[in-house]
Amino acid sequence: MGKKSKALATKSRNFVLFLAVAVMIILSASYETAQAAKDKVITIYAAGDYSGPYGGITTPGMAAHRDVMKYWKKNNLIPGAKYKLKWADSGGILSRATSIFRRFKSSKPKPLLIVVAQTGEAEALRHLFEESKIILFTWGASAKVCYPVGKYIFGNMASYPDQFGFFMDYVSKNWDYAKMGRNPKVGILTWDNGFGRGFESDATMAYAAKKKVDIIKPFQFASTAPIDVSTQLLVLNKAGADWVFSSWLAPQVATTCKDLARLGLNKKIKYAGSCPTGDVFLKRLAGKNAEGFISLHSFATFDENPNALWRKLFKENNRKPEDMAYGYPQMVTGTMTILEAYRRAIKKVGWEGLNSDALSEALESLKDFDAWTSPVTYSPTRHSHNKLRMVQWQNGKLVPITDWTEAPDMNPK
Amino acid sequence: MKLFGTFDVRYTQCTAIFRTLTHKITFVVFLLVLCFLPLIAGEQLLSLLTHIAITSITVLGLMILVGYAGQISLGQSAFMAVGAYASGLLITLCGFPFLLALPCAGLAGGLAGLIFGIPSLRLKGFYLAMATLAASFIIPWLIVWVRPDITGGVYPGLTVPPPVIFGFTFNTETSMFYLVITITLIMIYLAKNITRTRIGRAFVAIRDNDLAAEVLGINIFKYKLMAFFICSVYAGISGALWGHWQRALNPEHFTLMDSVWYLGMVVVGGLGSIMGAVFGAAFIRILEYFVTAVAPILEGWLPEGLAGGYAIYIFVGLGALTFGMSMILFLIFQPRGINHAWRVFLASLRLHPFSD
Repeated sequence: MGKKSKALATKSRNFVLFLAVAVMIILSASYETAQAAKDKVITIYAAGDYSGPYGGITTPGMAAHRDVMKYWKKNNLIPGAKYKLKWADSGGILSRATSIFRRFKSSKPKPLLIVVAQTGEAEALRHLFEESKIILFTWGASAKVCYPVGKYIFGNMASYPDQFGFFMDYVSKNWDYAKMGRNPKVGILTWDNGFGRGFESDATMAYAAKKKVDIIKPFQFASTAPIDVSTQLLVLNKAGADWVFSSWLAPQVATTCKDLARLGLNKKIKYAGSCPTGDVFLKRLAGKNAEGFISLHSFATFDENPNALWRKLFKENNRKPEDMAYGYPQMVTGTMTILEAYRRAIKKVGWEGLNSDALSEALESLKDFDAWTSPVTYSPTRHSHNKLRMVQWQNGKLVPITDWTEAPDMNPK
Repeated sequence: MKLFGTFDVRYTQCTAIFRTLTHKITFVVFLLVLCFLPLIAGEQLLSLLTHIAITSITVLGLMILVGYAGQISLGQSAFMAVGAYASGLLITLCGFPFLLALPCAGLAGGLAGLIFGIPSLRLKGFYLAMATLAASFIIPWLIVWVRPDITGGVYPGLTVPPPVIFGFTFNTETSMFYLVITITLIMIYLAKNITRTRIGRAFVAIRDNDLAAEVLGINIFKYKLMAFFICSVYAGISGALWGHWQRALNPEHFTLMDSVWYLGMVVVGGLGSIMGAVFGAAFIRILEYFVTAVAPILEGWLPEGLAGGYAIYIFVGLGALTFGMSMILFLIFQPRGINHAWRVFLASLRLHPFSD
């Protein structure tokens, strides 16, 4: 055998051996002992899109998980408990999300609750969570995730349908039917995906009709990162839109605000968006063009009360400006909610009796629980927040324009 | 390469799947391992293997199209969608049994592939890639908008029941593992056979030089379309299995990025080898698993505050970085794919100690 062939053989053998070793490492890494079950460990499993399109808002959520857990540990709020965060990034790829769910599911001890940070993933995995009797605690509360209400499915905000119902109330209340002589018209400009259309259901459309608000059909859609939505806005303007409503993130809101201003439509058409649109980064992204934009909001913002405890934790833990995204206050509430449910469940059934059923019941027992950035109420028939409020961009700040108000329940029942 | 003293004297021997007794014994041992694996392996490993198996079927189809027939497709994921929805709808709406719905799903995927394969008669390379790219947009659009009352559109999507065969419901990781592995083995066997027949040889001739192939009397029109059809049948069957494994579908399951990765798996596995498809699918899925599992562990090891509060951002990005770097390093050091490395490795074992 020549030198070249020998070198090739050696190289290939080394490569194959390397692959075999890598597989062994992975398999051994996936093996977990049941030690955690004996210890009093509360593990928050967090999976979702942390590096993909939603990464900008979801990654700060992990900082919130850690800050709140640190606070609970420091103050021994659950006696003797240790806290752990286990996260995995799907990058927004559904097949990867599935694989992560199955990996988490077979962990020892079995997880009681997994936080899922992407609506599409929550929708796709919902039934697997129910089958596995693991609580799906979702960032994105779309109609498909929330309804029908499932014992193991909880939304960490008012559901998108409820938000839309709340918005219909607002539009209807602020419309002078007698003077205008017609119903207000709302055009939809959003993403054509689970999150973008998360508010859409028969119940929300029927509610809009009941409130005498006309929804312009067809909906207008834009790509994941649109740089121009002029065409869609012109179509909606031609259809007589008084309002435009979106369910996406701050960068897309910024594009829309800029295009509305550029087309001279910002005086004629009002613009509103669902929960995650009210991000402090809008100031940087859209500047003055964002003025007047209204967001349905389930959480406190960084433009309010700097002396609030969660703001102090943010500072104490040296969080970065990037962490000020919408996901931080959302997951302050999320982590508070989860830990409070653990506290109540442990109090009721003890560490030994702790399971997802007990945790689900504990979550349902939360009534106006002060989760620092949001009041949280769940009930057996409503597994998403019942209250939210509206905030508006005024002079470069998010200013609440309504108080915490109970949203209409859009559960199709 | 065979052991010293083993010679092929006929063409059939040369192309046989099992050429020696050792081959047969190894295969039987492999089957036994698969049979008994669920007894010792956890759900985590079984689900990883099921995922690899479903992906392998898709990549097998693409391997026939790209590796053997020399065509290209960026629509594989969309053809999976056709199969997934076809199977789901045939079972839920028409009451088809799973065993009938599965081949129908393959057929539906195949027909879709046939339509999008037509441009291959006039286009090559990047231009053909662009033409098949259209499938990745048109098919999801059709699913969402044409009859959302049937497909479920984006909202609420389509709920797919678990497979039922002769009254037995495959609704656990273990049962799905057995079902998917069995179908995968059948599909590998069929793929291997296709490449050994007149059709497979025609594909290779077209890949190597389509003009010369035509001069030899090979009907390019027929064989190119056939390659697209076979490729998409595999995608359809894989999509159906995916749907029954996931039990819920919406078009977000089948994205263009997935199609790109399937092509990546073909390259990583080794163009023009059936086992390369399986190796490629396994490599990427295991790497994916590795990256998602290890990045958080590494982040946990880093002392708090060392990265100035940016640790989480660094390690979240590490996943994508590792993935990209692995692919680049792979193409530099193993450009002929895993299958080639595996074959050289086996040869060096057989020739030991003379290989060192």
